[in-house]
Amino acid sequence: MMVQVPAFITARQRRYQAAPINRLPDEILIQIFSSFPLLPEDILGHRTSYAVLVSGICHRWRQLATQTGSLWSTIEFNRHITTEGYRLPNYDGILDVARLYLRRSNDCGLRIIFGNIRHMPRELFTAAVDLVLSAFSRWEVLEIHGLYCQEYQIQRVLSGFLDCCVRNPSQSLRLRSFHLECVNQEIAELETIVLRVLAIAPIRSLTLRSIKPNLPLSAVQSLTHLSLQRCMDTISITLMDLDTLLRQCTRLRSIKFEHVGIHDGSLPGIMSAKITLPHLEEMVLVQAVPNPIQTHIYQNVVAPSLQSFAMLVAETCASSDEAQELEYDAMVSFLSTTPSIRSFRHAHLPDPHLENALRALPQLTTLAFGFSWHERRWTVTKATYAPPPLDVCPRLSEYQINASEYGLIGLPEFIALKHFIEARSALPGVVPLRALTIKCDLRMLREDHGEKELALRQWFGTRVELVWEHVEVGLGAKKISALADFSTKSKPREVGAHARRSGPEDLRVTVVRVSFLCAERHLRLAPPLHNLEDLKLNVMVKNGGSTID
Amino acid sequence: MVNLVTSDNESFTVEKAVASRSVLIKNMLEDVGESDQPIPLPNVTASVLKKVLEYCDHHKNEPMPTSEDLAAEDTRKRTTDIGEWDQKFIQVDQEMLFEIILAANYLDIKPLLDVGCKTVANMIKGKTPEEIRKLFNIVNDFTPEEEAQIKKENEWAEDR
Repeated sequence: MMVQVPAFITARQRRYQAAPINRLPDEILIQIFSSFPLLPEDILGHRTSYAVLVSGICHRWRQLATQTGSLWSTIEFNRHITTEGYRLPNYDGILDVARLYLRRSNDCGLRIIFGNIRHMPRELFTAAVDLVLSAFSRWEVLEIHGLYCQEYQIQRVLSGFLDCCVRNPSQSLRLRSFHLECVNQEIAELETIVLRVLAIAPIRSLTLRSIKPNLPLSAVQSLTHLSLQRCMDTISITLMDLDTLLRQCTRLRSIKFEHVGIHDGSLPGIMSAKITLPHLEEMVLVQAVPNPIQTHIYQNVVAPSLQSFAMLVAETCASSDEAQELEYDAMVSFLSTTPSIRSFRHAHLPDPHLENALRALPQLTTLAFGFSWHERRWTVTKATYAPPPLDVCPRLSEYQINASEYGLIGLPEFIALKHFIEARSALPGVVPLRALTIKCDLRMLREDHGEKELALRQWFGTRVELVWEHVEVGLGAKKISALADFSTKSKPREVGAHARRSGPEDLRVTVVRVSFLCAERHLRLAPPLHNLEDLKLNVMVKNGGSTID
Repeated sequence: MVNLVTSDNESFTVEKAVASRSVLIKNMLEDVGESDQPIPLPNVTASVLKKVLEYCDHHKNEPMPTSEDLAAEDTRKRTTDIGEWDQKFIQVDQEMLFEIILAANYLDIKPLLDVGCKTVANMIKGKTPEEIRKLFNIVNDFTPEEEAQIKKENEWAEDR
């Protein structure tokens, strides 16, 4: 017997055929929906709305999106920031949307984020915690941004989780990533709770801020990612603590120490055996002043798989400072004995030491300068930028400058950079740069054009073409005008539209692409980006006679 | 060298290292051993295969991603960042973009499929539902009940 197909379905199918995207099979559309970024700054502002967005396009997309649990697995309680400042949330909607996400996430592991909830009414907060605790065994990631929480709120979340674990001992736990930021330096009760969480859950990735890292051996041995931040003053650690910790963390793949203080720099005896971290791929060390932690790591750690190394100094000390000299010498020695490093990021590293470090890294392919926004939160003074020496790192193919702090990179720095690119491209025996990324403040471009700026504009304008991306609606006319002026002839284009114009054959630069990263949308994301305008210039470089593209 | 034959009966002779970026072809080559027999690719046209082979040629010397790499990509930081070369490679019209994605899926070239999906995700990012429909020629075919529910969900999401 023939089955009668409803007319509206066939009509719908016909319409789907008209849209090439709907010729993609379900699993590929789902992969596209799942390809949205999971970076912290994106999650805070966007991630939770992607699922709602794609489920509101057409019937088919809605069916697929609502049946894909992973799209709904991030449940976030936060007070968003807009261009006008903090937006007061609709408290009724908070629970509604959390319930929706929880239901549609099916059996997927959950990412639970408590962001800026300081002003959340107590009753609503309790209801929100109870709601997510109903699925405690599905928690995979727990993030508590304690800078914006009250102490009772942190304790309520963690105690609630522990209570659930105790009441349901047969439930296996999935919590693998735990990120806890605190403000108060000494909260003995909270430290005890944290230790209990670490003891009970299979944590692999741990971030602690302003919590004394007295970590149980059982938890430390399983860690693959460890980040300690702002362990200063009364919660600083001893060098012995650090040594013991590192010797136990043999599975670590990434480690980050950001402003971790030492209150006893001595070790009980000679540490003859090196600390081998065979799986370590990434190391980030951020410090305010010279610190025995760094020196101890440089002198004792062996990391044969280390690929990415970042060394950021918040304040420049006097170059004659003996401790600093010792530390930087130890760093250069460490770098020269770790040939696996391909990426090096730095800020405030005094010139002779930067040059020594780069000369110790002939295999380097990526060089980056500057702090990320969350690292910059703790810097006291501004970094200063200068291009690296010309003849170092012959394999360098990617150079990134994060100068989004206002005033960090201006016309003199741009000109220096131009000279660096020109001179480097003429240097024999070096790999040509393939990508240059600059994040800088657009206000610099709005200043009156002087002679130097004109020369710079001409240099870029005659050799490269600016292609606009992500130019947001609402971008001020003045800003567009300033950018268009800078690029001489280019006009804003649709996202993803690209055009190129080859430069003279003797120069390798062929394309500059401008990504307006910030604009209205980014202003909602992260407090440090408020009022900041980011410009990203990507310079594609031609290799001799044949362009890379 | 490997001989590939497309659905529109065009032949492409390519290095084994290039063809083996496709897990499908790599497995076929391993199954049949040394052979001059052409490999038919009935789901791929010549214009699309030409593009796909351009990608495979550029990436031929890179290590093949392991299942561990793909899992790590999934569980650690995921971005919509696409390499510079790949970005330029994938600057094609929509019709070709989706054909490349389909071919990458059929030929089992995960990194290319990933580039294609990220490109489409980037096209969606930051747009309103109406802009997305217009971009992809999608018709809003919601029933009135679905429309009402979506409106409610959007209000919840916006108001948080």
